[in-house]
Amino acid sequence: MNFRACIIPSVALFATLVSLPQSRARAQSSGSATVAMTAQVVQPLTVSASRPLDFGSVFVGNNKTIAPSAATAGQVDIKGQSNANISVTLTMPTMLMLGNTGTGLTLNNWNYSTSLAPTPVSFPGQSSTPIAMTLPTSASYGRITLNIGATASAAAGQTPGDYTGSGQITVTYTDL
Amino acid sequence: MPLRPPIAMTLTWYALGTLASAQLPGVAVDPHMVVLTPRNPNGRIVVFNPRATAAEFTVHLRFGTVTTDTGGQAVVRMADDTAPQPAIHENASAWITPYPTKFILNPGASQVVRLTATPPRTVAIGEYWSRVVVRARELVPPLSPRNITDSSVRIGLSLETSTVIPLFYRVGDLSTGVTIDSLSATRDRDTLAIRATLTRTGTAAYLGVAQLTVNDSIGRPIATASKRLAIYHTNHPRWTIAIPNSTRAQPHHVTLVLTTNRPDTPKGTIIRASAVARTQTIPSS
Repeated sequence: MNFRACIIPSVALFATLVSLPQSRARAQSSGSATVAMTAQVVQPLTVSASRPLDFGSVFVGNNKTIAPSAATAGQVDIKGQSNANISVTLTMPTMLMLGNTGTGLTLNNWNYSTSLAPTPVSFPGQSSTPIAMTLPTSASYGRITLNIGATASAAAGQTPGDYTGSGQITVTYTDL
Repeated sequence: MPLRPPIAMTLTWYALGTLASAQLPGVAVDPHMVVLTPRNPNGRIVVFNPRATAAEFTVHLRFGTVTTDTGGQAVVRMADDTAPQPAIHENASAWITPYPTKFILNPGASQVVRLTATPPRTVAIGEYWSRVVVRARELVPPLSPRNITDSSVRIGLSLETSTVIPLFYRVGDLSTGVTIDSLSATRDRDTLAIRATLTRTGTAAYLGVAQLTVNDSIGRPIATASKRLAIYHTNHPRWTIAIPNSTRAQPHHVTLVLTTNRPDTPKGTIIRASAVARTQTIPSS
């Protein structure tokens, strides 16, 4: 939690015309009513994968490393309340499977960088350890881009084919 | 049944930018917290698909609370998805039912998910916690169809995205509060690193704001900061705050004030508590 200046939670105020739901309107009059309301709008946390981690084809007996800074690194966009603290959990596979054959291909050397901290940070693939981050201060919303890289190891004698799996990126506010 | 998002949410929607074009999943949920009670055991959230392609969404509940890591940063520790739910007294996950739990949303579409609490009859007065996990996954396989003559090793990794919101189930007349068990600060050139031990009191989680003020040797405020926080048990937060270079050799007085002033939350969802404060003097370097 880093403060650079006098930081008050910057929440935009919207004066919004809200149509009352029918059940509430009934108590006031027949039909619907429209009232002027002032409400604080908190940015919902939006998490979007914007680029897959793309290893392409790998030669048998070789490793292929995708750095977080590479154009083929996985990329996730996180948007939310300006200056909010968030918790990010990266749970990535350590093995990709060739269909239902039971044959696997190893993924390791997981690391990530962010738009705020470009130096790669390693993390264990199947980790549930949350990572603390703070969304940047902005007039509208805070945004962090998360880049993810890893190394794929195709062993000598690796069966050719399509090895697939999934990774999870979980994000939550940490002030509730 | 897909519904239109509320007007406020739509405004937010446009503020977040235009829809992306890649065939990858994304998720947003409104509101950002849910409070249920015996009188109001039903709640709802709205799940949005912010992407330009359809995606599959799932909803489930896991136990999780806010804590601090070794560096004093706030994190949410969740129960493992693959393990049984922890047998913790405050865990409400087993008796909160979301519906629907699985659905597909077209680009920009939304879905109301209802949350129904059916606690045990013997549930005692207190606050019970869970986290609503909403996960999005792409509908198309990560790899294009394979050419029958292709003898290469291809790798396809799907990225699933999840967002998590807290759910509180409150029984009876609850109270909350916090004690500042310790407050310390160290100076590193033009930055103060402040560390506190905060212990929740009462029968409910403390949702509040930490207000920090640094005064110079003659009592003039030279830096202030404010940060929202949640305390479920005991936290050890660490904050850093910049101070003017000209004052760095002076003694400083750091004051931490904790209040439950949280205008970012829906009306009536915050349990109020008296403000608490503590001041720590840092001798001149």
